[in-house]
Amino acid sequence: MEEERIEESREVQLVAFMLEDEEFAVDIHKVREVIKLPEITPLPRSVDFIEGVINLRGDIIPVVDLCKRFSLHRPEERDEQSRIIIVEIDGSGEIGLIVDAVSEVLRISEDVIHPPPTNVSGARAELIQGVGRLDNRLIIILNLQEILTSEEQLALEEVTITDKDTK
Amino acid sequence: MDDYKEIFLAEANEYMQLLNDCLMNMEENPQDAESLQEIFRLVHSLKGMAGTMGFDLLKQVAHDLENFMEQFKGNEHLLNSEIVDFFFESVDVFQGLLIDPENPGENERETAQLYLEKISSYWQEVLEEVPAETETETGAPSSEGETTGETTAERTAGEEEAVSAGDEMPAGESGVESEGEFEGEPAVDKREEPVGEPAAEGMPAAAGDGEEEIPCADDGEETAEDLTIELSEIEKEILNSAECRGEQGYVVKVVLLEGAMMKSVRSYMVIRALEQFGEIVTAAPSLQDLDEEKFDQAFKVLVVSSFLEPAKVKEAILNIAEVQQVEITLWQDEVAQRQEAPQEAADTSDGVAQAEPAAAQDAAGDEKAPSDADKAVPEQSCRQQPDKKQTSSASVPKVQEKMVRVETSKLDDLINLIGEMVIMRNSVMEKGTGLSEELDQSLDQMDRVITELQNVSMQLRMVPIKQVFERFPRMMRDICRDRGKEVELSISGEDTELDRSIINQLSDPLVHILRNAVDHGIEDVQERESKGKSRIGHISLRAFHESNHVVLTVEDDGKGMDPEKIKKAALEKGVADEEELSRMDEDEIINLLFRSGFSTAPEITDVSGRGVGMDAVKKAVESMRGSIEIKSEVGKGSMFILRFPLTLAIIKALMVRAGGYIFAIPIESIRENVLLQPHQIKTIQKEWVVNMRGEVFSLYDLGKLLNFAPMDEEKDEYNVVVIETGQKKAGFLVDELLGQQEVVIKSLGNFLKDMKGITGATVLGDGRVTLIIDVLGLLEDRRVEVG
Repeated sequence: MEEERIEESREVQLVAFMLEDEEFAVDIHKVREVIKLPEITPLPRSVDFIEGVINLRGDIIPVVDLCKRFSLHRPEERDEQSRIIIVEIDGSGEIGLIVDAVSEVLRISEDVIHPPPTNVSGARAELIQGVGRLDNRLIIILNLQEILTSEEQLALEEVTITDKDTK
Repeated sequence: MDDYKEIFLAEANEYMQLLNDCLMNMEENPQDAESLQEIFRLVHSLKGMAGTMGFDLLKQVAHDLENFMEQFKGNEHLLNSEIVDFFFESVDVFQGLLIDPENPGENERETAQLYLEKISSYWQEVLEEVPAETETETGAPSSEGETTGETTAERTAGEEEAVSAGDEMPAGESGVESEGEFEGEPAVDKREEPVGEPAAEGMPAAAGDGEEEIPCADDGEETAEDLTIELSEIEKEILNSAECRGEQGYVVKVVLLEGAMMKSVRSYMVIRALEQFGEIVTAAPSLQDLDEEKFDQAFKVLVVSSFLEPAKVKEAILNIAEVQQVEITLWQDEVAQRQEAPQEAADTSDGVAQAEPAAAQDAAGDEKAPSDADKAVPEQSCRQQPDKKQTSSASVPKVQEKMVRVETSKLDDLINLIGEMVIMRNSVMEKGTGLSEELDQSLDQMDRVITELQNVSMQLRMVPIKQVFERFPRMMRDICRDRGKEVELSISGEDTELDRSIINQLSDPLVHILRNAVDHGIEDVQERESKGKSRIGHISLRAFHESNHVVLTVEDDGKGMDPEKIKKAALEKGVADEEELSRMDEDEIINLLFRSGFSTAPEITDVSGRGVGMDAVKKAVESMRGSIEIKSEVGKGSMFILRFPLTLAIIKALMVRAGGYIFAIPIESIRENVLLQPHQIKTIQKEWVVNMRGEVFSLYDLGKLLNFAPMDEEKDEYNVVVIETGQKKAGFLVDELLGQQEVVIKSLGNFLKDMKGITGATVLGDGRVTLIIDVLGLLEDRRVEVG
């Protein structure tokens, strides 16, 4: 991630996808595959953006609802366009990202990727590695490492316990 | 080279284990010549391995130690426990160096240097003790030892082989297995090559009709040079087309030093070097045989190249360690020469000359051959005599074939795939059964085969617990020394098999329990004697099967645990309160030890009380889906009982529907399923309870407990799964019981590994994922919620 930015004017390849009407992208090297939505088994007592787990050829893979992760309003229904992008998180395994549609594979120069502005759609900045400008488009490049941080998980686990206590 | 380093480390660590075993034997009987031989052999092999890898310090220590040990050959009466202790120390030194053999740490270096100095000072002492006559008998090694030069080392190495060969086969299978791979002693490959190859394939000794001739199969003729390169059709084609391009074939003959270690590495490096000069066509022995070390000192490689500069090639190859000689000839010359007089090609190298006739003799597969050969071969090779006898005794290759070293990751992949197939089978059976009679029959057969396959694959995961236990005698010895206590450790059931993933994690908790037993269990000698107990304390470590579990027990005959003291300590430390304690029986009180923040040790000793308490042990055991409890009687001793499931991969589970989803509950934690009428369910402080046959326990709506949809409608009857695990008992209300099923447990991966209440997931026949309930976790979490 970091080193990519240091080396100047290199091209990066990204897989672009849509969440609501915003365009996001992840590094193509981290993408294992893109699949249609299979049946998702929900996990009890987990954080809300973890939709559940799926069976990918025998491996159990957690899937994250990116809309929820980014606190976007979810479109009413998932449709034919909805996909799961299976990505590799360095050193931890694979996770699936539920997105509204996968649009294309992009090549953009590193020069046009800028650090994240502080308030992109209200989402948390650490989830965003940078913002790419391509013609008139703004493409938000995800920092996959932060999608499922254990810190986040811990914090949310505590929340769930307190929730229960108050019941 | 990294690959080789890994192999080296694996081997070396095995050697350490064997060394410890032998030393333990020697400790009981210091003058046991057989153990000494074995230790000697191990140290020698280690030296060789370290030398090849370029781990100089390690090699140096092994070398000096080996020479030192040499003194005791035939002088076993000089061995005493002090010297055995000294040998023990060497294992620690080796292990220190093995942490990072390439670049040992400062401490390790220092320890090793100190040890080297100790050896040489010891040496003087022992030398003085050795009677004059025996010294002249063993004269050569003792005088060589002092000079400690490279060449002498090589020579002694040769001689040691002869000696160590006497008890060639080490006790442990692992030792045997490892030899073939690593120890490049000539003795070993001869064993492997002639017996393994021609004999196994039932080929006549005079081969040659094969595409690539098997070396040494030339029968017992005096031709040392039997490295004939036979070309297959394809290879001829390659050669022809190369010649058309104006390139030429060259035969590069490489002779390795006699006794070279890891010859396959060398041959690999030679071939890699040659690749820079041209295209490798073939080799004799074949590349595969080279790789598997099925050759003696020499091999030939056929290379095509437009122009090969012999000097450069020679230089490149001679740069590789342990290469003695390189010869380059044109392919045409080689062919011509062969036609004229095949035997003249005999090499001038001593190494080849003496090693190969012997091998060839063995190759004939004739039981009598070796003894004849021994007389015939030159004097020098007499050293190898015992090895050859070993060769003909047929038992050796059998042992080697019995074991194969496989990377664990490959094994895991295989087991996973079989697990997948089991799931697929369920799905195929579901869809296919009843469509046609023929299909049904096939499905039936497939079902049987897959079930069998599954059983076999489960076996693959099982390893004897010996792997864990074998470290303990040595460890206990050290701890007892350190603590000044006398303890005898007895071990039983070490052949009991357990799932490999449990075995790997078992060591730490057991070490902790054993240390605790020595530290807090066994009394001092005086105390024991005053209590009328035997002077030497006794700890027994046992493993055995009990229905679906493997049980491990650690029992000591020490002072036992006093519930009153534990109560007091628990109160002081705030681990439990008065009210809670009053409700507990003695067993429960003793098991308070497992609560976090509890440690009864009055002092922090070197071995126990390093901050990891019994709660860590409990946690570790439970993470392996095991359980642990203590039984103790004051004055008589304590017993730790650990129970583990037989396998972690497949469990029987009851499938239930709750909160709108299907869940699997492990059968082992289920006591029974009952139907309850609403009037049987009482409410106490907003909690549901039931009184069943005089027992009162809580009921939970499983769906609600998991934060899914609670059971909504009022029912006439409720399905209740009664759970009993450890000391906890409860009932889960579920919507529906869906029957028992064998499920393959899959991990939820790194991200979700800490999920409370869920141990894993499994995939159903239709591909859907179902979660497996961790009953204990769920109930404990529930407590947090209530409290």
